[in-house]
Amino acid sequence: MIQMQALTRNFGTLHALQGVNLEVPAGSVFAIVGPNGAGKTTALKLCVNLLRATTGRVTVMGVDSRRLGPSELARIGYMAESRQLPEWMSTGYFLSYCKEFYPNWSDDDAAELIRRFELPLDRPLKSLSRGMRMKAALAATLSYRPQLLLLDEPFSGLDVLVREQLIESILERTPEATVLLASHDLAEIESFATHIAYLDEGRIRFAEEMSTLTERFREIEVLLESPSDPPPSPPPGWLNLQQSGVTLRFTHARYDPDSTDGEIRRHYPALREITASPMPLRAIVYALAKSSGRTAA
Amino acid sequence: MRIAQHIFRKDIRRLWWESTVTLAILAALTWADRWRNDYTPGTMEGWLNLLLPFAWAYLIALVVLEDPLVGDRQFWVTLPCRWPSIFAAKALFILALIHIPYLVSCSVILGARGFPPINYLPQLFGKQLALVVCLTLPAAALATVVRNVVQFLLAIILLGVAATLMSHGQGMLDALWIPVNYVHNAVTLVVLTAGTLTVVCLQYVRRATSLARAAGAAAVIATAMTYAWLPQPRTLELQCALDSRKTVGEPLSIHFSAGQGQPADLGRRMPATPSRVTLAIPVALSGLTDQTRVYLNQLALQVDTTEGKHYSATLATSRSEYETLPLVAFLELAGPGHARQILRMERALFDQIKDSTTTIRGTVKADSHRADAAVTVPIGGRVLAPGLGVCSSAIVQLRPGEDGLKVVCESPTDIPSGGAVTLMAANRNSWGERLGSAMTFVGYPRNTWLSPMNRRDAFFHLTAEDVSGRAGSRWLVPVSAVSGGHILVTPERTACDMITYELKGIRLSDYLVR
Repeated sequence: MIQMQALTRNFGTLHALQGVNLEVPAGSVFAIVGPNGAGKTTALKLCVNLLRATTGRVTVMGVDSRRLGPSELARIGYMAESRQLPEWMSTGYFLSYCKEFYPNWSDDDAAELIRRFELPLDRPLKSLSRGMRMKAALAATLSYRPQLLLLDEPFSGLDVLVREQLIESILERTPEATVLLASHDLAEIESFATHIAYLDEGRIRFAEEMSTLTERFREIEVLLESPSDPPPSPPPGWLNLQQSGVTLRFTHARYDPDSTDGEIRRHYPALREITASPMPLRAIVYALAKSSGRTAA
Repeated sequence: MRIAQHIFRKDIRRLWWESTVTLAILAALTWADRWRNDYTPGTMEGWLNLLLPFAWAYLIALVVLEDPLVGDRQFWVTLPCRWPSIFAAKALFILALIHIPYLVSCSVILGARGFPPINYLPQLFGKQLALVVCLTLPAAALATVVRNVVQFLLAIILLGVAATLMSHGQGMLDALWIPVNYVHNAVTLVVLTAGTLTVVCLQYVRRATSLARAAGAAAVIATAMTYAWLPQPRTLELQCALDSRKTVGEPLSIHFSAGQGQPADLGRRMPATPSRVTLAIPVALSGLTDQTRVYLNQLALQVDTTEGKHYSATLATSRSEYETLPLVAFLELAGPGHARQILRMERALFDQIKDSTTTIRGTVKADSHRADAAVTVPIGGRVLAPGLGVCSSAIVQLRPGEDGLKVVCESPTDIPSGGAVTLMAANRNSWGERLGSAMTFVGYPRNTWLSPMNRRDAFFHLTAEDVSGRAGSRWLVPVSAVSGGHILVTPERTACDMITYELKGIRLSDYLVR
């Protein structure tokens, strides 16, 4: 659905994206996560031609994003926290204004979303709370049944109830619609993303299916027979190695239930016990950020 | 087009209040212009003429910024519509809320002043074109490269200050008797239009803000440089060359003519001061027929001395520093076939070169008018004068306790300045004025470029007693001369010629006005 090829975007001397390659499969709920300033928003803006790439290209629905025309844009929904909505419009007029642009607009869907989100149609957008504004924007987006949803920080700062409502509404559209979202709300993403990419300092650190990611990351705790020196250079995949007395802790980024045990024993022949615990997404991202010298958001 | 109309309706809904205000200002201006019978507008009309372009520019900025081009957060960019729809919507708004109302306003004014609009369609569309070039396009171009209205207003203020400083330096506020340099203005506006169109296209087609801003800055600089450096004499020469009407027969020429006496009143009009002197060199005009009246506008003059020094004169302007210029030159008519080359210069400069044998090289633009085609305007009457439009005369109060006889000619077409206006008294005494020779200084904006009417006026100051023969009496007319008198206006311009001349062997000290 989306291919990013050697995508680079500079803002003066700031390199927001550096040679990003990413493929978002159709039907996926693809989350791009990363710390503030990692380039997540820039990546999404490049997908809808709000920004132009310095080098490289983005192909969206088979079309270069710089050449997206009405027929493609009518099938793409873009929702961003930073998007300048016409806030002077009443919610009702906003929806009817958007309707004219989309041949696939469904009045029934719009009515259902208005009812579900309890949108006050007569109030201007500027007088609505942030959550209600996001609901109005989502109602305008979902009413034309987009095939691709691009969501930039859609849930940040929203209360739990509103978040759940939005997530539920978005997920109802999948797998017919592909969702690409940028967020640092890792707990929420973990609950529904099928794919995840970790972006840091403009580079993709990893991009894979959520299930394989959670399978390959483990929090390892090793109880040694006696204190011993850690290996001079930790094996690949051992992140944030810490040793305290006879206890060794690290995050294994390439955990394999069949081989990891033997790998640890090769480095620490005298050990009493190995414990490998599954990690939540938040802990994985934190470990990655820590290993690269940054703190995750 | 459906989407363009949809966006247009949204903009109307959003900006109805601002649009109503501009329409109200236009209506007020139309009302004031419809009743004006002077070259100089009244206080309200003067301010409205300044306010309306600003209001329009602001409205253009608002409508462009409704769907902004700058930034990466615009709502409209992700809507399924192409740039031509957005562009068409904005153009439609500007057309519907600015250009069509302005066209209606101009038509109403023309109709009310007795000129059927249908007969003046080229002039009406010329006004529309002027509005596009001078206001709509520049305002739209600026609005496409700014982030918000505050930036737009700051840029307007900045550009306004720069233009004011530049116009002051360039003597832009030329006197009414200085010929309008259409070619110079047109070339400047072509440069401006090319620049603003480039900016608008870059932004709507590509949203290339950095490039568009650079193009905009380049356009401003190129326009300013064109205006400042395009040689006035050369462009006036071109304007004259483009004029198909030329003097038939012997070409006009100017040459030195010894033997004329010094004009009696010149010493009073331009008296010598400790720092400045006036010289009057007699010259003859050949090639004129008895039926021709000619007006001369000095475009260039250079004084070359035998010592190899060269002094160039500045074109006469209405700037207040007129008396501070080192050398000012103009030609003054002194009777049939005769004129004087007037040089007003610094005394220090005169002292340097007064005894040198000099050669004076000059260029003048000569506008010829038919002297035998004068039209009579009765006092208090209104008549059609070919080439001038409709001329009328009336006795008006100039200041409390001071009356004047005002002659006004107005037309939707251009009225050349300098048309002769003669008050003929019953006793055959006569007083002469020229259309546009008087300029009233007022404490408010006087520019009426939005008006579809061109107006020129001349004033005769009336006095209770006959002061003929007294110093300064040339400008004063006894009230008694008005009763039974009439006005003659000499309208039709017949030719435009450029005359270059050389006055050799001139010793300046021989022509000092004392």
